[in-house]
Amino acid sequence: MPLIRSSADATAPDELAQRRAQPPESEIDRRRRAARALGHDPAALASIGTLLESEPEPRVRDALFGSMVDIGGTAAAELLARLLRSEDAGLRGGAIESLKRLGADAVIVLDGLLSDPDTDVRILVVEVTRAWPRERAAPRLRRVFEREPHVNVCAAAVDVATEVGTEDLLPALGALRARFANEPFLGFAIDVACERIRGTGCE
Amino acid sequence: MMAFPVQSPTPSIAISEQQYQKFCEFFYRRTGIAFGDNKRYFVDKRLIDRIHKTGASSMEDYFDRLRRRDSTAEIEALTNLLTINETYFYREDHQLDCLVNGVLPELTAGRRKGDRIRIWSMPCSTGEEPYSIALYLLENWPQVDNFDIEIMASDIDTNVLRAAEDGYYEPRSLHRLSPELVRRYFVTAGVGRFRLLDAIRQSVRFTKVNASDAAQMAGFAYVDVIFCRNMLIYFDDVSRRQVVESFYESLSPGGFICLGHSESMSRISSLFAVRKFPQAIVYQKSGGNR
Amino acid sequence: MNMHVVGPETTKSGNPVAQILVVDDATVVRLYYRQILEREGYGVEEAINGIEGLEKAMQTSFDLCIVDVNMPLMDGYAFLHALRRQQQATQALPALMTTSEAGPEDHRTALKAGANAYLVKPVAQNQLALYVAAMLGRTPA
Repeated sequence: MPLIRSSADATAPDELAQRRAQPPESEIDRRRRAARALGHDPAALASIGTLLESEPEPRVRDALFGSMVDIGGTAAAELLARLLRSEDAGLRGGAIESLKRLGADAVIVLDGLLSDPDTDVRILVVEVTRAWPRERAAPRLRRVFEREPHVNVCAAAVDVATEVGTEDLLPALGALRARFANEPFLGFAIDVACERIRGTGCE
Repeated sequence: MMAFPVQSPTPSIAISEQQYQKFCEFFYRRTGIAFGDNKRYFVDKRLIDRIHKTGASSMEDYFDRLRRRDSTAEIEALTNLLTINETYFYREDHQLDCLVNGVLPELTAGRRKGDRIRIWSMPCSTGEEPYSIALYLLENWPQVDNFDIEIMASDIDTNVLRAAEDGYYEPRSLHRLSPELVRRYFVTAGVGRFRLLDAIRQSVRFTKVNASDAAQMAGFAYVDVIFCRNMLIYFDDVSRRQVVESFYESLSPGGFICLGHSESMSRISSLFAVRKFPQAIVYQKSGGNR
Repeated sequence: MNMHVVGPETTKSGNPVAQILVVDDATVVRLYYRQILEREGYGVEEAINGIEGLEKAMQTSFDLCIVDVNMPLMDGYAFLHALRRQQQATQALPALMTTSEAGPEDHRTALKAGANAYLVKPVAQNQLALYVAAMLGRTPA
C-alpha cells in the first residue's frame, strides 16, 4: 500500500535522509534562482542586462528576463530593446516577449526603433505591438503601412493587423497593396487582414 | 406596483465566417486549441452566450474586450464553456499508463528500495485524480510496494477538498472503472453512492493551496511528478507563467509534470524539456539522472 | 517562370501525398503556406513555435517541416537542435528553414542547426512548391 506520512514534521529523521538522497540542485538551477532573485532589486537592472549578454543557458536567460520584467519601467525597456540587435535568436525572442509584458513602459523606446536602420529590428518591434490595445497599436501599424520601405516589415505589420486592426486602417492597407503590387504574399496577407478587420468577405 | 423599464429586444448576434476565423486564431494562439470549421456551431453558440452575458454589442465588441489586459475573468468564463471539464476516475488514463510504464521506471532507475516517490495532484478537485493515481499504481505498478509513495493533492476550493477527503462518489465518477475495481476499492454507501476504502483515502494528503501564491507553492519541494491537468488553461499569461515557474521550483531535478491532453507548455514556458513516451507527452525538469 | 508541381487531385478528403509541418508564429504565413501546400496535394499541420512544433513532430510522422527562425519561447534553431537530438524519426525529418534575414552567415547557421535547405522571405509560391517537391524526392511537372 502507498505509505502515508504519519507526521508533517519536516525534520523527522527519515525526511532528512530522503533529502540527502535527492540529486543535488544543478548548477543551472542554482544560477537560475540567483537570476530570479535579482528581480527584487531595481538597482540590479544594468547587471541583469550584462548577464543576459553572456548567459548561454535558456533557463537562466528566462529567469533574467523574468527579473527584468519584474523590475519594469522605461530603463528595462531600453535594455531589452538593445537585445533586439543580438545575433542570438533566443535573446531576440526573449526580448520581444519581455517587451510585450512591459506594456506602456516600452512605447517610447519602441516608437524610436520603428525607424531603425536595421530591418530585422523593425520587424521585431512590429511584433511587440500585437500585445498592445488596438488604440495604441493601430497608429503604429498605419505608420508602417504608409512609410515602411521593406516588404517583410510591412508583412509583419499586416499580420498583427489581422488581430488588432481597425476599419480606419483599410485605406492604408489598400495603398500598401498598390505600393507593393509585385509582392503576391503581401497581397495575400492584406486580403486576409481586410477580411478580418471588416468581419465580412472582401468585395 | 413597480414599473418595469421597457427594454428594446436584444439584437440577435451573428458571427461571420471571418469573425469566427479571427476568434479561432486568437484562441489557438492563446491555448493551442484549434477549432476547425466543423466546430462552428459549437463555438458560435458559446460565443453568443458570452456576448449576451457580458452585454457586448457585437462579436467585434466582444473580441475587443477579450484582448484587453483586464479580461482574465471573461477569458476564464469563455474557456470554461469551450473545454470539457468533467472529472472522473481514470480520466485520461493514458497518462497514468505513462506514469507507470515510462516515468516511474526512469525516476526509480537510480533509487533504492524504500526511497520516497512524491507525486502531487494539483488541482485535485473532488479527489478523482489523486485517488486514480493511487488505484492505478496499486493495480498496475509491480514495484508499488518497493517505494515509499507519497501522494499529495491540493486545491484552492475547500469544498471540493472536503468532498475529496470524505471520498463519496456517484456512478458517473466511476464509469471508467471495471466492476471488479469498484468492488475491490469501494463500498456502497446509500443509494447510488459509493465510498472509497479508508486505506486509499488515507493514502492521499490533501491541502488547500492557491497556485498563484508563490509563497504557498514554495512549501512544496522535492516533488517527483506533478499532475496539473486542466487548470493552467484558465489562467492569464502572467499567472500561468508564474505557476509553472513555481512547479519547476517544486520539482526535484529530473522530475516530471503532466498537463491536460489538450494543454501545452508551448503557450506558457520554455523551462521544461519536452519528453515523448509511447503513451503521452510529458515535461521534464532537466537535471538529476538525465 | 511559373512552374507548378503536378500532384494528385487535391481534395481535403483525399489521401495527402505527404504530411508537412509548418512552424511559424505569423498567422498569414501559415495560411499562405497551407493554401499552396494543400493545392499541391499535401496535408498540413501548424505550430506557432518550436515547442509546439516539437510536440507535433513527436506525435505525427511528418515527411517535411518548414520552420521559421524568430518565434517565441523556442526559436527555429533551438527547434531543429532539439529535433535532431531525438532518438526517433524526427532526427532525419527534412527541414526547410525560412527567415527574413538574407546574409550568408544565416545560411550557414541554418545548415549547422540542422536545416536541409533555406529560403528567404517572402517565399514565392512556386519557390515553396519546388523546394518542397525536391526535398520530398518528387518530380516537378
